[in-house]
Amino acid sequence: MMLTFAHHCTIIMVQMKKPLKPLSIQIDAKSAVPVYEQVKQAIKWSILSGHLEKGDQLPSLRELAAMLRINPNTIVKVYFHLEVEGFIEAQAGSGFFVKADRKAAVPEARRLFEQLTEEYLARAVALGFTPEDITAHLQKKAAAEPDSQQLQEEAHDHH
Amino acid sequence: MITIDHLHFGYGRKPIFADFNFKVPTGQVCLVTGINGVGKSTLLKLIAGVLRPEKGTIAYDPSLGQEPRRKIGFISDRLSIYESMRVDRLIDLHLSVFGVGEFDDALIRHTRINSRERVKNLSVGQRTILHLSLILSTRPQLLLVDEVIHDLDAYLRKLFIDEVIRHLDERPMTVVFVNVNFHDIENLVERVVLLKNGTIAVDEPIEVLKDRVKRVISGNGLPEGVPYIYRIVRENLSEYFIYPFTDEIRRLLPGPIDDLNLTDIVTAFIGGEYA
Repeated sequence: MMLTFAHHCTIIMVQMKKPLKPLSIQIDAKSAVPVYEQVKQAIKWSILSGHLEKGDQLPSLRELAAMLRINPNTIVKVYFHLEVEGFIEAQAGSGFFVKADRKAAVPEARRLFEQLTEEYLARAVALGFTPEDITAHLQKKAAAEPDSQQLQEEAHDHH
Repeated sequence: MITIDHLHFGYGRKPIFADFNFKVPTGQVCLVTGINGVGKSTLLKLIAGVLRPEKGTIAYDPSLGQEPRRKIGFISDRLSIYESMRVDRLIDLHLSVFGVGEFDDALIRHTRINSRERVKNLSVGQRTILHLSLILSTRPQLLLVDEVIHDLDAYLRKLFIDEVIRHLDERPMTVVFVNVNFHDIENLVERVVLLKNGTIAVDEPIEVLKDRVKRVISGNGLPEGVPYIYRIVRENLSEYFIYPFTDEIRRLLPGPIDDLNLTDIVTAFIGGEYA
């Protein structure tokens, strides 16, 4: 809530909407991954990485379709799937909101983590690094990251 | 939305369609393409009701009512707008003919069209935008777009596509594109249809098509049994456009396999005339 002076100087109360957080969604037209899957993954990533938090509002179907310049049917499909998977929820008349907190999303985070690890490992091994090199290097890097402990604990709690 | 049944049509003695069948469900955005002279524009004119089938039928969704042509927006290279009329008068006339309450000027706001100017004095781009605005104002349930948007610069094409997206969001609108810049509509199109010899040669949802057409670059040919639709031979390497691509074929190929965008895919089909 805030006070605003309209130009004729009466005081009106205006319900301030929380500003939407910007989303970073890159669509690769060449990719064989369907556009709706690419958009869905990008939104999931924003939620899982903590950029979007529980209760944050998502752009409207119209706004997102216009911004990404894609078929609105695609966004309908994306939001439908995200809703079914429990990441977002529709609130009648006001739009779509993030539902999953990070803890509830741990299995999905785990899946993404596995995928990243496999990609990383395949490339590191191809460059000739041994499992020992890789483990040692990862330990050194992870120790320098302040955030890493937290996710590990959450993942641990889940199991 | 559109059901074409046993359509026969030709110019003079030359048949273009003989026993042609085609359906487009309501709300679908479809691209119809193919080599030159294959009848893409003719098909669109038939759907629009500008041309009449010699035999067979073209039926529309019952929601289009007794006068389906009033619910069809046909955007073609022949701009049927009155040359010597002033822009504002033309808009008024159009609104009264179609019983539209309000003219949506979202597009022409960006083109610096003077509403007191006569249509014949507008630039090609301005005329096109005016035509598009008039058609979209009628809120068509079926939008047919022929090559006309080629005349627009990149900025106006973007505005037009943004408008189409806005209308798609507002209501179920079926769209058939022909001869457009594939890059512009890449993420709008749900289905791709390629015509050849008066029939449908390829008809796939876009995500299936992207799965089934791949490019492989090779210096020593392709293994036995890998089907390709088009090949570009270079000095030491050749590009092969593989279709239909399957997991089985993936196992036959030792090297990298490239995904393709809509332009690459259609170009490969047309380059090899669908092999």
